[in-house]
Amino acid sequence: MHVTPIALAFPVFLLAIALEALYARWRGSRTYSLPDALTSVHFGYLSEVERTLARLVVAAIYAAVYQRYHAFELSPHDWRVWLGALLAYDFCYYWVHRFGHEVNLVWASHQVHHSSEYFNLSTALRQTATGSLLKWPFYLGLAVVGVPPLVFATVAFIDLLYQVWVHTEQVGRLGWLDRVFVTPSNHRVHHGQNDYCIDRNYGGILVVWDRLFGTFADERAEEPVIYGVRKRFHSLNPVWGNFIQYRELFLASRAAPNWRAALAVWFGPPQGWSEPVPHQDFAGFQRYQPEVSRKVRPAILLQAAVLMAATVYYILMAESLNWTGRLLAGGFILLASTGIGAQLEGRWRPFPVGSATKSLTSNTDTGETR
Amino acid sequence: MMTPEGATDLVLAAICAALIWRKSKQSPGLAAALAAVGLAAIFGVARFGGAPWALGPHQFMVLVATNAGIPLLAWCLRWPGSLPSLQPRAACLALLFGGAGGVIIVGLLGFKAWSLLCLLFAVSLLVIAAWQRRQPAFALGTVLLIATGVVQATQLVVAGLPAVALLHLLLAAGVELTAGGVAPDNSKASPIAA
Repeated sequence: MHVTPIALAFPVFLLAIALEALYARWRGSRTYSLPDALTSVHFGYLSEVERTLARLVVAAIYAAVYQRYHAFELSPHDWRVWLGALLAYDFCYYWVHRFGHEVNLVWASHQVHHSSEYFNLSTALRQTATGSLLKWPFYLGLAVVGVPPLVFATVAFIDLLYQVWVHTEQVGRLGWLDRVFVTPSNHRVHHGQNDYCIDRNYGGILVVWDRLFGTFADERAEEPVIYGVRKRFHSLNPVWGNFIQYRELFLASRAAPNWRAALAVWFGPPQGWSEPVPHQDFAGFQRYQPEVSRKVRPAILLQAAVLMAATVYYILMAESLNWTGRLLAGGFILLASTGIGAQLEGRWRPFPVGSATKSLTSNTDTGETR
Repeated sequence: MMTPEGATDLVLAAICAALIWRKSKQSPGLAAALAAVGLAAIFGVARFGGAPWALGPHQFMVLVATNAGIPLLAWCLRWPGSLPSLQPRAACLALLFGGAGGVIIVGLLGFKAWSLLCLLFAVSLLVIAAWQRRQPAFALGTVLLIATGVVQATQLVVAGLPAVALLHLLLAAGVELTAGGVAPDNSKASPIAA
């Protein structure tokens, strides 16, 4: 069994989410919603499933480009190589992330991460399941310079890990750190949909890239950040969440008057090519929060726990599975997370764990869970 | 010691740099395309100047320039009012994904015909643009760019000048004559008009 770092990290992430939720509850801060957090975690599962499928292809491309075109033999035993690679990766990440927000085709993938109207550690796991195939060209330059694949994979993981802790409302401003590093304060701005937050703070570890390229915005104490996306995503179905924006683009391009306009739909920015960010008033804004009956919560949580165990096991085993095995396991995770999402939304009734007796005595069950 | 290939790559890089300086505001897409060609030429100067480390980056950038840079250049000249010509984001996307696709298809998978298709696409756009503009300089530039392809295919040696050096010179002259002229605004006829 080949244990990948992400497989080890996943249970730690889940533990951190539980601790943050408890801390937030203790402080009386409403930063968590069970349906939203569970959905975020399910998005994370699908993202990992996609990674296990696409990782081989993307890693093979990077390794082949490195093998064939690398300029320098950079030693993985030299700490300066690691530091330089991390900085270079973070620089590339800035542009990947910026394109993720400013080009519709890439935004369709990345919007998943912004679709939650809450901001907590579970949001960090809410990742796209369609991103791997769009990002790799940005990093080929590192292969050409000569960053060895092992160093590349490691710094990519470090960059990813760093970004987990900044998804929290429990940490306030951190002084000068907020102006150099990506921190909870400036990342809250990144997740905001207030006018001043749109297309700001793209950095991964360093926010100096934003300051350098004019995309930095400081958090404003007088204007609380409203999280989420302006085209609101009112669903707890992670599969739908991954494809909804592609569908929108497809419909828009099909309605376009000619092929030129149709192409522009896919490659244009979400806000239009030259228009300023339109003003939006958030007075009376209510976060999307479907009610989940207390009766069905235990059943849903039980399913979520089983799915979590199955997903962690799959991530641990993925390297040793063939493609059929990966696709079957991926299909199970996809169906299970969709099913739980439907139950959270009240569209499906969960297995009658908590109300078995009632179910057995009633043949007129309508499946209503709200 | 500078070889003819290195010296002519230096000429090509200098012409690209001068054109980027002159054209970047008018057409960021043109500038991006020229940057790909120019960067390939800079690595070429190093490679042919005796720096072994530059071989890989030069080959890589030649693939990017061939499969994305030259087609983007032709696109921007054919449709100066189009999004890839006027919007840096669109130009970068075309260069990034076209270049990466070219590296995989040609460099890693070995389908060299893909480069040929990209160049044929670029040439046909240039020929149409030359026909519509009816400017002798632009037409001559187009002919020189077509000749670049012929030299590449036949490995022609003229007056003792190696084929690669000749290719660099023809490319430099062709790029200067086509991209160096003032591009008329024909945005009404442009695909993906800005």
